[in-house]
Amino acid sequence: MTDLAEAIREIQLMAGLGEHLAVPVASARLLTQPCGSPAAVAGLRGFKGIRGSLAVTLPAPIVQLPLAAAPRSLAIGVTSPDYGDGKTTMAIALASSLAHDFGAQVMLVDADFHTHSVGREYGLEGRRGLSDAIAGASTLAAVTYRHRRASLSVVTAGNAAGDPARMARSERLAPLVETMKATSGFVVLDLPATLHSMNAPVLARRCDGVIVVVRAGHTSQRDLERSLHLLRDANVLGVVINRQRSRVPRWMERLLAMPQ
Amino acid sequence: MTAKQPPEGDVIPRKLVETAFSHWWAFVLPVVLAPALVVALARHPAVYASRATVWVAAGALASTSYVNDPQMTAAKAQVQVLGDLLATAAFREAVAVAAGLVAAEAPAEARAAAGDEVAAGASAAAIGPNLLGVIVSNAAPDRAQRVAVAVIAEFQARALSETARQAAALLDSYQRELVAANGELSAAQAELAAYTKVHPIAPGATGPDPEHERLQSRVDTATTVVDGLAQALREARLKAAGDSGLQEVTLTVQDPPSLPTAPEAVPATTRYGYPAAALFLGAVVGVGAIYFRYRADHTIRSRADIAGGGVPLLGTVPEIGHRGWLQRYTPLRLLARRRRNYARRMAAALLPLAGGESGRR
Repeated sequence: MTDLAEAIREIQLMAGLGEHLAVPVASARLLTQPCGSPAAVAGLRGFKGIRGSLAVTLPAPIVQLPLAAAPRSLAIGVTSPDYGDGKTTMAIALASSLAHDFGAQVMLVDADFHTHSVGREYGLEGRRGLSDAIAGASTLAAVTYRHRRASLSVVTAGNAAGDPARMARSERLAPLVETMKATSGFVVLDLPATLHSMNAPVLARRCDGVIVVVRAGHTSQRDLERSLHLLRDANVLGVVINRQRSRVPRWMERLLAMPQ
Repeated sequence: MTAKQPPEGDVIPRKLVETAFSHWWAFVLPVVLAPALVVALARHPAVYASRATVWVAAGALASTSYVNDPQMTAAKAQVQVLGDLLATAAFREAVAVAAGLVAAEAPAEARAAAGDEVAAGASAAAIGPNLLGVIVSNAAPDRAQRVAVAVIAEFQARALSETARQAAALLDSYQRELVAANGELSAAQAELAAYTKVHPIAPGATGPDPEHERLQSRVDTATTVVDGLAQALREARLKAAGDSGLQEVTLTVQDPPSLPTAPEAVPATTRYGYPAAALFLGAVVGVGAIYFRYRADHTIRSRADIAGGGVPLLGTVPEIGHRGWLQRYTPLRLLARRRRNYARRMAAALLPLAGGESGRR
């Protein structure tokens, strides 16, 4: 198998959607690249590296993976200091990767009531979602969209009218998250951008751990500091540097013995 | 979180190297542009120089203004004189007209421009105590020679006219003084004659007559003055008549202006020194620009930038959506968009758990 074909195969498997079925747009972005290129392959390794890092940074009861043997489910929030840093892409890729590699039920929840990014990525705009469940207009099962053949389900942000801040602080949210965790091994929540919504710290506290995505060359250290300060009451698992790009040639890295 | 502290063992911060490679143009641009600018500015057309040597001899009536200066020679004095003349528009334009650069009846602007051309190219230097070197540079060799000839000719003419002017002034002054001295002599002689007529000197007189002696002395003095003025007047007339021996300075052309056959060589400083200096300056500016960008960049780019944040780095995702300009504006871009739309359609295969709504749109 050529590198190109292997890369495509790996992307499809990583997305947990089979060889010829639905591919999330985030993963499709990988496909839009020359798939055999070092960047595409490195991207896959990057996601797997994050997953491996999660395994060693999660709380002790969760460390014993695979998930089937884990004592309880886990809610992971993904946020970023600013919009456009790649938190939704990271949440989708992480959910897809976890669904495939651990064979467990993974629920991807769009908790960003401002952008509705997940619903848009999966072509579910305008469908009922989390806000409808919080408002009591629908049940969680009614707003959960499960893939035919993959162990991945998606809950969009929904379109119920209401103040997003009030929804984030709703007392109904905690039971909903617990219900999600009861039905899924992993619940991946796409949280709002930390510096643009005060809902992010509130929602982050509902999660067992939060991943902060920063965009290389765009997110400043000061913004990350402010985000971490706002998330001080949440369990920040770590930082993921997204869209990292190096222009330094390999020979130069070797010459200067520069670490990655 | 510390901003610019590389991890231990990392002598050169990775971000600095990244900045250098990502903003390589900030270094290359000044390194290329600065020497190119200097070469363009320092570039000048071929210049031809016509050279002449002139013997300078100070005349009998030479100015004594520099006699007391042991360092000042006749040639040096004439260098200053020629410099002063070249500073005057009248001399420059006269040279230009004499050299045929411009017609005498040409507009004032044209004559002024031609005069500026003369002033820009003409210079003089003392080669020895009495030897003056005249150098005229011009873009055309024949113009350089003609201007050199004209400069020397006009210089000589100015020297002659100055001598004539001085002689005329002296002549006028001497003539007026001589008239006055003759009048004084005549008055003294008349007074002496009148006194002698009243007081004739008796034969065998024992002592001199004091009044007679005073009047005789006055006549003698007036006679001496008249004789001196008459001599000076003769010399002034000779000078006015153009006797070279009486000129303030005599200019004799030893080597006539040459017709240059090859342009002047560009100095090595101009040819190599300035571009090298500009190259060095451009490199310094480039390195400074890179370092400034590095210092001003507070964004997160690598592991080192979050090392002091107190949170672990879970991983890095390389940029996979970046396309070069070639890919952005080629059919590859359309192909990529089509594939993404395909993936979007396929993503709609999600079905609701409750089965009430179909995910397919």
